[in-house]
Amino acid sequence: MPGMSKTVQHADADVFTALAHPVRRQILDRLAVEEESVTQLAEPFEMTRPAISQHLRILKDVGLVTEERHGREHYYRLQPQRLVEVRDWLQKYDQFWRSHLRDLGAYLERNHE
Amino acid sequence: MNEDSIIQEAVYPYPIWSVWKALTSAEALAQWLMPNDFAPKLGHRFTMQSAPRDGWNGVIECQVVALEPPHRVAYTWRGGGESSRIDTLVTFTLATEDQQTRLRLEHAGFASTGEAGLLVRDLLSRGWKSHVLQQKLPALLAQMSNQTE
Repeated sequence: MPGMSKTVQHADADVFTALAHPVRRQILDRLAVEEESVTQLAEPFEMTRPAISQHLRILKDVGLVTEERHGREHYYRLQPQRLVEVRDWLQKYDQFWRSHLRDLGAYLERNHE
Repeated sequence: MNEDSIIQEAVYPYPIWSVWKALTSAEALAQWLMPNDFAPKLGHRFTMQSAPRDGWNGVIECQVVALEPPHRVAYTWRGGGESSRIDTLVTFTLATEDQQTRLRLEHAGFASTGEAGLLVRDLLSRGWKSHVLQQKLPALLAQMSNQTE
């Protein structure tokens, strides 16, 4: 079946994939400070503008950034909502164990002879 | 430290065998973790039932892959909705320490989720000490909740 081998298909998972690349995380860091154009973003990376544009497109497709055109330049702005979802997903596992290890302590106390 | 894991430790003021029993009895696990059909047998396949959510029935599929009483028990842990499926390994390690028992939990293998796992690794190993999550996100969240309320 096509696509069955992939476990990462849902939009949320795509956000993870988008975030997995260090350049894209750096882009998001910069956009967290202020909105920037492709030219401004490309500067510190020693990458071509098309390469940066490709990263920006991936970020845009999963809803992590929005794009606005001013004259000849495209400006990008961070959309934090998706990051919140991802953070929540990750924290669930950490909190899950924290809470259940506490429950284990309570269980041991109840069942102590 | 394995960077692709959640690692937590706890010290319980009980003998190692008491803690071991709580980790390896289905009845005990049901009380502090989840309903399950665990059995302390190497290779045993079992499930744990978490609360269904997001189009996922909540079933976690497991298999015992290590059993060294009273020091180590490990099982595979597969589950999650389509959007957040994980194929991971849970290991409990016990050691006696000053008449108490130190438990170390490692939930490993998030990177097996593919590239998504790299992010988990980054965040859990505190590798992303940058603006977005560490500094900027709390402010953005505050801003957003002001807008929606």
